Amino acid sequence: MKQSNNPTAHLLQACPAWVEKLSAIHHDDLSFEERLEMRKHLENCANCQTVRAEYRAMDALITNLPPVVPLDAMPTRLQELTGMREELSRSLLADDAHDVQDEIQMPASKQLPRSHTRRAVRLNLAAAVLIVSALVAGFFVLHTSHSADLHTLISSPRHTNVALQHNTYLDVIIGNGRGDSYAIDPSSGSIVWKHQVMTEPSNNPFSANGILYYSGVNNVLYAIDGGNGQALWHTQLGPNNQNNGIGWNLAANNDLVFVTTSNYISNKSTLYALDAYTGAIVWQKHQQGSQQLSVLAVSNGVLYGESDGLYAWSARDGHQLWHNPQLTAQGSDSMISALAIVIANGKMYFFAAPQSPSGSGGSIKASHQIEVADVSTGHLLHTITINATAPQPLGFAVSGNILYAAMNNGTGTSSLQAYNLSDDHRIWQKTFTSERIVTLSATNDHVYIGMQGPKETKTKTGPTAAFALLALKGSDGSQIWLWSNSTSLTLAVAAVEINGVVCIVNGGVVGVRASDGHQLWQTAFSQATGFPPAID
Amino acid sequence: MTRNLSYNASDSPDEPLPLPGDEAGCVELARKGNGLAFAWLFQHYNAPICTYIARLVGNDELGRDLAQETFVRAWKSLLGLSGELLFKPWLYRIATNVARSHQRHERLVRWLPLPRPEQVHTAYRPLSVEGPEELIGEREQVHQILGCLGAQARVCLLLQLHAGFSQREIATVLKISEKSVSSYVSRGREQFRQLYNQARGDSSQ
Repeated sequence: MKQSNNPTAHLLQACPAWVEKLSAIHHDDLSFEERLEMRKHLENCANCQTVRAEYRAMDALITNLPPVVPLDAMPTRLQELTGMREELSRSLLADDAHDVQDEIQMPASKQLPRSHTRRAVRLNLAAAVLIVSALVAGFFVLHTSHSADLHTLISSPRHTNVALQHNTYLDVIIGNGRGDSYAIDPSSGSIVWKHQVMTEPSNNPFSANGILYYSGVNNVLYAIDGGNGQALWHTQLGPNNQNNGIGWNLAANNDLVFVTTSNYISNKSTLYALDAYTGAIVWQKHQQGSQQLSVLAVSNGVLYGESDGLYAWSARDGHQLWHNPQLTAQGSDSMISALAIVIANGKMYFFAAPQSPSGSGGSIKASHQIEVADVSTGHLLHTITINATAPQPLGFAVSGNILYAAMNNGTGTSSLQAYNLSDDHRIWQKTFTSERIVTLSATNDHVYIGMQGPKETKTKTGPTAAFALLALKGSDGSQIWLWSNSTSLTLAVAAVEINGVVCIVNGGVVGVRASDGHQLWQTAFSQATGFPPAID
Repeated sequence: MTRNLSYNASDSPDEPLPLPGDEAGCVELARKGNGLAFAWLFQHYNAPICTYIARLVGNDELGRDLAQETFVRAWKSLLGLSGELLFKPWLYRIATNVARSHQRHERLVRWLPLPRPEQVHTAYRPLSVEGPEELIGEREQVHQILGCLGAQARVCLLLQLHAGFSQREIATVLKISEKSVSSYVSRGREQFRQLYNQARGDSSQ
């Protein structure tokens, strides 16, 4: 047989009618109808599927090239033209003066309440490292199998806009002071879009209904279209100074995003409800008190929050539905990627806050129970005693009808417990000899738990792995697979399953097949760090 | 030590600057001759414009030089400009023209020759994203292949991937039809795919 000299002869070819459309990557490149048609075509055409996957991989090769080192400063010629030479000198002097002022004010910040101090630490860490969140809206739209009456955290009305279903990306936001964010295709690890906010992040990123929210240290909340990385809006929330900050938690439903701000000097907190698509303030509430107001979750038109006890407000207009000062949620550990509170079957699950000893002195008593409250009244229904010696509660994950609770035991071991959400009885419990649990997530019948230095990975010839991710069967806790590597842990690590691929963020991002733990791809990001994934 | 420009609204007490991130506000002030507002725009676009031009001409140092020229031209053109202005596409158009002009007149940029057809390896190897070690070795190859693409296809592809423009926006930047842009990006990708597979085949032999 005569061999072809055509260099393209060995390559799969896309259908001529679709070849140009396969190069469309921007949300606006194809109409809604064209996107639907293409999806149908791709379902039935292996060649076009392959060619498109290759185009995406090729895009990743180009976009992953290291960025060119930019100009050191505004060119002298341009400084002269714009009159900025004088301005620049003035600006540098002002910076120096500001630095001195910061040093003088440091003792005052040390007197902040414990929670405020923790936030300040978080801010500093967030500024120094990469922040990663998982944007899994599309995944949940397509694959969630929750029962109709089960509403999990921040999950109220499921997103049904087909045009946004391609938001099956992992979002990577970089805390390098420029607000670089990337969306990664979980099937290939390729970068789908990137966006730059030009502001240092202050908190975890948060995503819901195809929108990525990003809090800046300038107290501006930014909204980015998760489908294409385009900026949607930004809204200034309170004055831009160091006495004010945007709250750690956000929540969102189909129409509104809820966020709090606090002034650390006046102890005044404000709860805002913003239009998710325009950023306009729909309503706001003010609260005075040393306990910062924070948002916990929104579900079925009710917004839950915490300050001096737990609160419930109407999400639509902010009208207070109930307040129980006797209940205080501990929240998840800030260093673990997990949920702080779960709302399911009309009940609210959270770790009871540690008890302070009466009077001065004495140590804080750790929480030994999960509290279960009625979401319609705020009344405590019952408590679940944690079966551990000295538990340090870490956080939750939920999937199907099972609640997973992770905790450190304080004896060099950690444990994971699974509860049936119908009757709140424990189904199983596993104990691990790891230094600490760093990430917990669950999807369908899989629960993923990431650990630092688990002894289970030690072999006769090799040392203990720095990090291991265990995939367990949700129904009985049996191990499905274990993935480990020797990469030192970054500030926080995240692992979340998207479309059958578990994306592990720790330094870089690694894609692992959910069914068997086989590593599919790896994308390098310098100093990337995972933060709790936001799930909608 | 390099130090970034600070952005402080109190520098202009009579005309408070918009918030960082409010690009439209900065553009409006820059059009009125506000150097500080333009400094913010420079800071915002410095890195992407340098990278875009460097990829276009295949040389980082040259890319930075041409980026300087781009910002100078932008400042000069911006002053007194009236009517609606979409700054980002407008700036990328200037950057593209500066790079093209340089290539046309200076002829300093050399691209590696297109691989010969007989070098093509016939085994089918799908594209994939490799780990970081392999990527480092691959970078040079990617640079070379980008240089082998047709000029217009390369511009369209980089505007799409680096600047994040839609095909309609690229058409505005380059003042060509949307259909042409669609054709160029498709052609560029296909050409890249062929050359990449060809190069991988060669390197594996």
